[in-house]
Amino acid sequence: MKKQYFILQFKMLGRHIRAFGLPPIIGVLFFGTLFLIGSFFLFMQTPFAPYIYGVLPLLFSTILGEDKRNDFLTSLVEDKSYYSIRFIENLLLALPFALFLLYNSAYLMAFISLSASGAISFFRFKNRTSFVLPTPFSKKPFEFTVGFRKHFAYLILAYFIGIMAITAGNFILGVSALVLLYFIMIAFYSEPEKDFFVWIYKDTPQRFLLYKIKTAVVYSSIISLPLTVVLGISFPANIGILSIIFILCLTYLLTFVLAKYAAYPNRLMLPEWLMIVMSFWFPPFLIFLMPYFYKKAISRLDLLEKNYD
Amino acid sequence: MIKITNLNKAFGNKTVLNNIDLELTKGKVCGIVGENGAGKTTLFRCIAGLEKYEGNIESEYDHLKNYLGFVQTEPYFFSKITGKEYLRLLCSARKVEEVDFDQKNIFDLPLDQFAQTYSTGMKKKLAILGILLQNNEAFILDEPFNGVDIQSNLIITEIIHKLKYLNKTIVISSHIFSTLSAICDEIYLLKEGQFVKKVDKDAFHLLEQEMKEVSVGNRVDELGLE
Repeated sequence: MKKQYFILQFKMLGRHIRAFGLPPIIGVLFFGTLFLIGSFFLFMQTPFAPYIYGVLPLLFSTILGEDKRNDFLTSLVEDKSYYSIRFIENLLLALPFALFLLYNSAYLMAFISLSASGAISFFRFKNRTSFVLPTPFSKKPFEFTVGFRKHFAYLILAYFIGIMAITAGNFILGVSALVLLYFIMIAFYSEPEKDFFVWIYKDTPQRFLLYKIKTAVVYSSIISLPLTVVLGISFPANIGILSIIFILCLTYLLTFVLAKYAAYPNRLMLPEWLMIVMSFWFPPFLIFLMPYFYKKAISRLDLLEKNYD
Repeated sequence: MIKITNLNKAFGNKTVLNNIDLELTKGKVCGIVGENGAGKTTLFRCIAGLEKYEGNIESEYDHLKNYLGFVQTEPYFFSKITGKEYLRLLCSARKVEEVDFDQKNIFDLPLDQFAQTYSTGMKKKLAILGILLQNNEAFILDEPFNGVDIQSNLIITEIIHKLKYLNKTIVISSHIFSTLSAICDEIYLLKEGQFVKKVDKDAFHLLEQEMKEVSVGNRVDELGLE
């Protein structure tokens, strides 16, 4: 059963990569390379990278420990197999991070990360908790309302890194925290919503997009401005570069909002991702990319709108 | 009024709707019955414009979907959104602002809890409440009584009567024939993507009898239960 389960998981992973627009083997190589580049960059930038890599697998493990998924799994296999499946899953997830920690001689963090990930497999994380985390975003659901609650732990982590940066007087780390914050907010827009939630809007595609953009600007500022201001006060000499990074982060967030609807109702595919990656490499490319995504989003939404009429 | 003529829909090679003609009139409740997979939900999604189709759907509205409330068989709810936030989303999407959700909560739903933790019936009631608060002119109710308790069943029936009185256009599907016969002015029988029968109120009992004979027949006997 265990073998069948993991074969099925790998098949599903392959299908996800194919849906992304890549053959599975190329996809694994692509994401592996991306992980390595990101890891080297992070470890070059901050001495706190080992801590981040120690905590990240634990946060990801909570996704695998999600209640509904585990209800299904327990109904499928006996207790012993269930725990061993969960244990192996968590270790597999933590392995790339642990290997990179080992490569960087962070032996203790690698050990803690692996053992904590293993231990966490014996816990379940109730998604159906009745506790409703209050958010300042309830007035305009749904991206920030849902995203804030789902990614609250990650947001706290980003702020924690920001505070560490200030206490250590490390501006680069502070900026990394701000960038991380925006990456988390970009994740709020990673899933295309069901067609019903676009259909309900009494708006032209242009007005619909403008509404989404306005919401993203206002709500992302509520989340990121406190950290940005505190960083500005703590590193007054770097306020110019901080402002540029803040504006750039906001621009990338809006690019993702536009890209989401440019691909709608599908997820972002390889061509969109490649263009986005290119813009990370060469930010002025955004001048062309944003209008391109905007036009594509309008035509996508226009098609749906014609369908509705 | 919504007029559907020669509506066809296929998924790949499989024809799901074949030559559908239907006129939905203001102030009348139209019922659609049919077995699972007959094409009811696809028909509703076509009327709403959520599916591409061949044929014609005309209405008096410039954008029908802006006046249409659609309760789907299995309404979807985001995982971390409360009942009240869901209602707010539906209302603000239609530019309906300043609604006192607590006062309008006729089903006594726990609006401050996550909608995804609701029972099937509560989810249905929340979806119904949402489209009612949008001030729509036409309503598609796909299985509105599914999983709903008897008290709320009565409330929903009353709501449909009220909507009819207010001259709204209503189309509804249900597996529970008795509820349909109590609220509908006409019922269409959909079979394998085609309307095979249209029945007016005075002949509902005949349709029910016929459906029982066709659907049930002697299938239970074939089980050989002892």
